Amino acid sequence: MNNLFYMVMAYTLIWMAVLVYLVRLGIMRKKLEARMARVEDRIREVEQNQ
Amino acid sequence: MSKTFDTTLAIAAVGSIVTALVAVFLFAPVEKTMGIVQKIFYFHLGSAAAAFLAFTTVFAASVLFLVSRQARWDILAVSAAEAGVLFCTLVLVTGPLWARPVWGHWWVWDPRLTTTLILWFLYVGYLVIRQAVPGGRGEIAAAVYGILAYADVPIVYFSIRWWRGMHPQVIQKGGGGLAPGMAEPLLISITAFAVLLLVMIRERAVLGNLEARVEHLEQFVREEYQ
Repeated sequence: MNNLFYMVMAYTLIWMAVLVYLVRLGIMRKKLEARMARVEDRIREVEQNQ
Repeated sequence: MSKTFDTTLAIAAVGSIVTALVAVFLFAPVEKTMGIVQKIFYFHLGSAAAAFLAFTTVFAASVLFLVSRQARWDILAVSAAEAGVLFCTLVLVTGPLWARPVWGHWWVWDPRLTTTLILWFLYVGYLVIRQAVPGGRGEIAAAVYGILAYADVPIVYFSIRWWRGMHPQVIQKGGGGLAPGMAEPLLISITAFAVLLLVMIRERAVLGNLEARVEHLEQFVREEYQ
């Protein structure tokens, strides 16, 4: 394996890891927004019935 | 803070990363003996600087949490610890990728390498404690641990001065061991990683606050409406 392979591998791993972490944060945001919407719906539903 | 701030920060991160890549690949000279593999060093050191900055944030936020008991400091500490572990992992991965062609070994039990590996385990431990211990006790335990774990950061930094090892000493008194034309790309890379770290911590902290609000509302609904 030549030097270029190690360098390309290092840079690929760095940006893959950063991308995976940012995607994870994106998924976390979507899930939290869905949970928030469910709770708000529940509150609205109960308040309308009262 | 506003959405404009987040957008500006994200644009700054992308801009500084592109600038760093251009500086490293188009302007930094190719090292004479190591060749192109030496270019790993710019982002390896950038990752290390980002990890140190993140763990310093964990330390400061943990102290502030213990003093004030405000949840926002705990959320900041967890956010910084997550990003710190990510950058520390990158240091431990890119280091061996540079070492294999240069030293002929993936890993040696050099003081700098060993203390960095310990640092990684310490902050993975922080995240485990934060998750595993439930309720307010988990926040306090993590804050105390976050302060104690920080003791390894100066040990990692000074390890190449205190003990003999194979790891190169880049930052030295009176200049350093860098060839002309390498210092500027290195500084740009470190800045780019610092901005990227800021984006990650900020985004994670926003989500941490949102999570706390959702949990609070869910608890309210459980108690009031069921």
